[in-house]
Amino acid sequence: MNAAAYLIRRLGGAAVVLAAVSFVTFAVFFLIPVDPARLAAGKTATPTAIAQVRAALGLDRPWYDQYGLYLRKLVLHGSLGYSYNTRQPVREIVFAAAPVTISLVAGAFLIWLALGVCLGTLAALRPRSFADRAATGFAAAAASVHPVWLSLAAAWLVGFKLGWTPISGYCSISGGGGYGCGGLAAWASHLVLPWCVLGLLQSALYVRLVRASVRETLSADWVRTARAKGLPERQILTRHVLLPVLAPLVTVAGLDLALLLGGVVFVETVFGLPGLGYQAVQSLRGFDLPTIEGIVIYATLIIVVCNLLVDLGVQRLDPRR
Amino acid sequence: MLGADSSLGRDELLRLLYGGRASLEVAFGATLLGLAIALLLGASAGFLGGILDTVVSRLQEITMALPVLLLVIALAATGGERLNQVAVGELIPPGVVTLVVVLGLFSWFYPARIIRAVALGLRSREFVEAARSLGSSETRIIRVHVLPHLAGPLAVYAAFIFAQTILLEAGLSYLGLGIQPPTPSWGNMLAVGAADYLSQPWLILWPGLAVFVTCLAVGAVGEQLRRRYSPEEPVR
Repeated sequence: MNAAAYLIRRLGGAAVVLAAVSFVTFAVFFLIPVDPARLAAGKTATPTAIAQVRAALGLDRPWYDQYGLYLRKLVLHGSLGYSYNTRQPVREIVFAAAPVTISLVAGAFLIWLALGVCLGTLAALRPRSFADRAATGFAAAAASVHPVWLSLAAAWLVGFKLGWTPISGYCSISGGGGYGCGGLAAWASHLVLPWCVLGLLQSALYVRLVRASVRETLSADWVRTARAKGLPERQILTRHVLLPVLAPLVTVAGLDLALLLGGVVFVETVFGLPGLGYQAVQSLRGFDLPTIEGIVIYATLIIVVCNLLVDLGVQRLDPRR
Repeated sequence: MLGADSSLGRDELLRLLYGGRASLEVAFGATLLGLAIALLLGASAGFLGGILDTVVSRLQEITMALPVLLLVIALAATGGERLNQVAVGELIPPGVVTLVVVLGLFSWFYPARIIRAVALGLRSREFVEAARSLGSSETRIIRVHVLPHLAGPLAVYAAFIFAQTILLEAGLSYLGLGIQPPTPSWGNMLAVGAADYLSQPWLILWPGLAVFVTCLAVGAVGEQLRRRYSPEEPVR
């Protein structure tokens, strides 16, 4: 019964967060001195046409009315409204962009996890050695480099000078989605570079995190006991050192994944990947409120769900239980 | 020395130096604003407790679930339409105020949590009790006995927020949402260079390198400060 109460409390909290975030995003757009109706009606529209568009989009009503209507549609029909600029349903835009972002983040996740665990453990096992200094130096550099810069540099070097990969663009696995190409190989070749860039950037935090937690666990009582029992060093490392490190790693990785799945703005923009971050920037340029609102709500929803999953999962991971 | 940019033939080195001014102004301002909010909310929540503490803690829980980057970009784009007009002559070019406000508003979450925890621990320490029993006013206790203890964690976070803000400023200006051209900043120099980066890669080399070296330096300072003051957790 306790678990059900916990779940209800968490879901209630999630609803509050979603309402707050959608409200803030909505409110922000009423700060701008730009008239969305004028943008939506086109460049050569007459004042009456603009007034018609304004009425059709509901922009002539007070903002709290518009927000109420938006929320009602969202809750009752799961509808995120229609884009001001393309008249497409926002849900379709989000669902078309989400797979791109997921493809990018999933590949990068494997890279940053592998880099983080390997370099972090290596550094922790031999403190103050060359490997340790190299790993911490790598982490400091990866935390300081700008995503845009690294993306551009990678695209220039690997994509242009060496010609190993495409410079930008996206291909879906199925060939659908109107990207003009398809197949697993095309998908992967377009994503290799973004994967590596995002993976490198993200790994900075993980190298530090793994290094710190492994060093801490190495001096724990149970490791000393395992050594005293004469267990092989390899078994001590995997069973007694790395297993306890998993819990903090999953916590941080879950939150990071959630943040990135809502859109990887800079890497997507440079590599021309039409994911959520790219889409968000595009619609902001056109002051397309419904699309932005939709992407923000989707991103928040992912974060809320991931937070919940992480909190439930981490309890099971603790080997002391 | 570093050549000129492609479209207008402006001197790259000069723009790099002036761009540094805009970028560092934003970083200073946003760090100050963020830390001021963090100190105000964190210290009062931790030290005074009560309803204030509940409100601040709930607020922090909500911020945990914010898609921060998306909101920062949205705010910079929409708020920028108004705030970009605020400029003080040569000293504060258009766009700086926008970025300071937006980035400052989104950088207090983590430091506020740490400061709250430290202040909470201080509340029941002997020297605070002693000061109270001697009849010191609350303001005096906070000023003389609490604030000096918060200086360490604040300094640590100052360095990390500073580095973060430089990266974010460059990102936002790259998207055209930050410092407005023709005023150079490291971010919008990246944008200028990115337009033609395959044929003229050196135009993105220098602003990127400037961001990298600055962040690396600030990060190193932050790391030293952290070792000295708060070794408990790795700073994000």
